[in-house]
Amino acid sequence: MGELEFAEETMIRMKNLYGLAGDHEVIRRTVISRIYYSAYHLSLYLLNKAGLRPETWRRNVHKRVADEIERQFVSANMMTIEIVQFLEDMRRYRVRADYQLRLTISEGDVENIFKLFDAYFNECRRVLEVIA
Amino acid sequence: MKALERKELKQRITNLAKEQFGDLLKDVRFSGPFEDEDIDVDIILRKKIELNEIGAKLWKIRKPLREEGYDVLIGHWFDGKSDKMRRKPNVASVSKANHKPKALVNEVNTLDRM
Repeated sequence: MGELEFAEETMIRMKNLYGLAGDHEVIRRTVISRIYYSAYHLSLYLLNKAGLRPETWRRNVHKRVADEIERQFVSANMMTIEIVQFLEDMRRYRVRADYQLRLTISEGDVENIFKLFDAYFNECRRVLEVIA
Repeated sequence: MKALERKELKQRITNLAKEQFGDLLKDVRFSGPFEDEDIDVDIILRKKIELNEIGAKLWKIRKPLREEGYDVLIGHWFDGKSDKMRRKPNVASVSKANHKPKALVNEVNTLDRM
């Protein structure tokens, strides 16, 4: 399965899972985490297409991915900076879901990350069509 | 070029958040770091605004901090619940609310391709 297909499939399956069992916070945390990593893999794919090798990076990789997406695509006017910030926003949702058990992860949080992901995914797909 | 102590950094982030969001800003919460970042920040907004607008404003907070050498992971949420609701209640007071999320339930059938 390719990264684009994986991202699309993850979104569909996570929406299914959320619809079926999103009343439980463990599911909400799981959905948020999977959605972020799907966006992250999509970002790695974009960077690979741009000639970078993010799989060789070893330190602070998640931040570096966002920074490189900005450098490669925002600087070239192929993507807006707001979209890159969506990736960071999703990462913050993921960190909250994975580490901060004393904070409630609400349904609104899940619905918000779905919106962020939709926007990010559509922008990545558009850029991929341009650079393919 | 990390010059600010954590307390000063928090104040700087709060000031930047106030500049960007003004009256929309309800609170700024700090936590972490949990991974490689210096600090985690949640910007809590009083009401929903366009995601693009939020993205642009969050970027205007993150950019100067990055230039100063800070790795600040910033997210947002809308204040749909009171702070009391947002923080987890004590175990003793937990009641088992059993409700399905309404949003997206209808989407399940149309999205399920199996």
